[in-house]
Amino acid sequence: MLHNYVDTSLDDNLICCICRTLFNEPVTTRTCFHTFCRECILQALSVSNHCPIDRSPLSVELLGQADPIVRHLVEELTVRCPYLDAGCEYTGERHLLESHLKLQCPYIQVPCPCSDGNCKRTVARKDAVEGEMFVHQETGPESDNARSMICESCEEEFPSVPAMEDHLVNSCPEKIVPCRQVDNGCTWRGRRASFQAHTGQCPYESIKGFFAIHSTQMAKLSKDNERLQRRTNELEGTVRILRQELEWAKVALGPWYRPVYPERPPMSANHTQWTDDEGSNTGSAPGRVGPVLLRTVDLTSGTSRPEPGVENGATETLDLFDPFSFITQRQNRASSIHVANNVPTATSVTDTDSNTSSSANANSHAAESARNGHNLNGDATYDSVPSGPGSSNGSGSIHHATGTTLPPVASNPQSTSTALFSDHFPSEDRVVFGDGSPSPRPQGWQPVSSPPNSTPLNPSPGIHSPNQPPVSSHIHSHLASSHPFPCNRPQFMPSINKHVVAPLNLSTTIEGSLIGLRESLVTLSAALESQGRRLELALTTEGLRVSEEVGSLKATVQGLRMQVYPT
Amino acid sequence: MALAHTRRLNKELAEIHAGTPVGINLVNADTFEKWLFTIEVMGTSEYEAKKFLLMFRFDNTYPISAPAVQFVVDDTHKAPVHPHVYSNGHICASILGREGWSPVLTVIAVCITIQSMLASCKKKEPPLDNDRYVPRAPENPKKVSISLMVSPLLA
Repeated sequence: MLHNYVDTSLDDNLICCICRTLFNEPVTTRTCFHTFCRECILQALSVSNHCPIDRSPLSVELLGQADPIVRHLVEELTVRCPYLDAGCEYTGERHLLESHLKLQCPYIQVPCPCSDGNCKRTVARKDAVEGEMFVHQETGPESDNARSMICESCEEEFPSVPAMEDHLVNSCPEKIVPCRQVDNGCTWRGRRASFQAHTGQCPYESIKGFFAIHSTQMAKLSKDNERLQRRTNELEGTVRILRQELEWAKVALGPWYRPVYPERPPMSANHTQWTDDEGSNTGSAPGRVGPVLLRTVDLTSGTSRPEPGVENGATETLDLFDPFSFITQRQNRASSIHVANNVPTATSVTDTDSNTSSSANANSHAAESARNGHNLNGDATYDSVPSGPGSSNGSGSIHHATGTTLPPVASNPQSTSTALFSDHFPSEDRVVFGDGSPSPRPQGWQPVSSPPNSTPLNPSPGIHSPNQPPVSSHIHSHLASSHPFPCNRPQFMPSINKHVVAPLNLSTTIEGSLIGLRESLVTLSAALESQGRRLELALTTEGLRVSEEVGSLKATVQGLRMQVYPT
Repeated sequence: MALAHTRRLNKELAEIHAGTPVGINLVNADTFEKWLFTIEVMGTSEYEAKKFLLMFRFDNTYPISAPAVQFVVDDTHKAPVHPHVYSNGHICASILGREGWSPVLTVIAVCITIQSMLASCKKKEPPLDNDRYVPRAPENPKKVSISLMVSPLLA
């Protein structure tokens, strides 16, 4: 900013060394205390990062406002108005110049105050007189008169320009005007004199009622549309937030999160064989939608046949974060469960209905077990459940995660050994995690220990059988009491210091599950060990500290005793 | 601020008219693009009694950017023979480079620096890579590419 200073002898101390004028918004460096104009130093710093005076390292962050004294010294210097040439003789302190120009200076240009709202001209403030009939200072008076006082259409003369303009706009009969319904589409243009005649004939004129109705309807519709759009945006926002939170929850849960998927489409397509064999549409787990952490599932919603002893709508009160709960449950109910169909009849390993995944089978198996579980009165007979190869403890039948479907097995328990085994490999539903169906779950969620050969097949989406109905509430009591593993809650996870124990992946072979279990145990023991070591260390140091203290206390006591008994 | 350089050059010009150091004289400052000075080295030196013509060229980011400074080499003037001055007039000086320049420096300051550079010369010899550099050098000394440059030794 080039100011016109009244006092021409400038104080050298107040001169910016970059622009060689008096400081304008001075800033001072915090490190070397040099002062510059704000603009000047910012420009200099954009090119190099050292102080222009002493080359010490400098950056924008190290600039601070200059001492107020410096600022005042500069701001209070007297300057002249920049419109000196136009005639303004104002002089005043520099910081007051801005308001002088904004509000007072008579020679500065301001927007024209005439009545025409579109006038873009500017006039000097001294000439801008507020008034109704503000007339622009036209450049040439003669040409104005000649031009403006005669109506251009009808050649009539008027006493003044505004009067002429008014006539032209409102009443001149020769002026070409459009039809009144031009907005609705009428394209007629003609002399105002013939306007009446046209209006009588104009088709748009005759249906103007319709136009009015139509436009009110449109307005209403647009309003509704807007409202709905706003609502949609709101909802989208909410959805986004919910999704985000879900993501966070998933992340927080780590490997413990296994989503549950919506119910399969009608089972018939996939389980025809089963239906054939059993004459019923079994194995369809109750539907449940979405990742489920807390499940309240209608037990029978999916099954076509109500099972005896099955609770309807039992609420899952299992502790969510209790991956090993199932184990205890199973152990507790071992005796009462007759797991009927864990074992597929080894013979007919009907091949790859590639749709059915092992997990699906596991689930259906789980379904069976669940039903078993409910039937605590020891009802050993269950309707044949399409037993999956899942946790096949089948006598000799080998289950690969190849999705072989096995025909439903007869209801009687096959062998006690398998039944026992099956207790340790609980139905999927007990596992709070989800059905273990592989494909939707991102790879990272696979338990660390899942052996390579146990990658479950990718079932088609419709196949994922949601987990089985919840266990009855009395199972829950078992859980609480007989938890062998103390660290199976996510709350405990942090304390394990990243020893993440992945949930058991039951969607693989027995071997796989066993290996997984073993890995989990290993992790846990390592964690325990390190915890123990830490505690030991702490204990040792504490002990040492205490003994030191005792030693010093002893010394003190000894000293005191010497004083009391100087002998 | 496209006019910043003119304002600043105006100020410098005013100072120059008020008086230049010994040995430095303004020849021509009619435009804001190019200024000419004569440099003489005072006292006893290798360049005693020799006058050299120094040309300054400014762009519109002066003083944030350094001016292009070189000795004028033509029929009447020659460049001094100095280890940091090429035979085409280009000068190798740290304060003229991007890293060494500071907006605090002025035209007079540059003149003085060059004057002292000449005065402190021990041996009158050209730069080592003079013959390699001169044929390839661009017209504007500021546009010299890295490959041609010798590391500037002056402070």
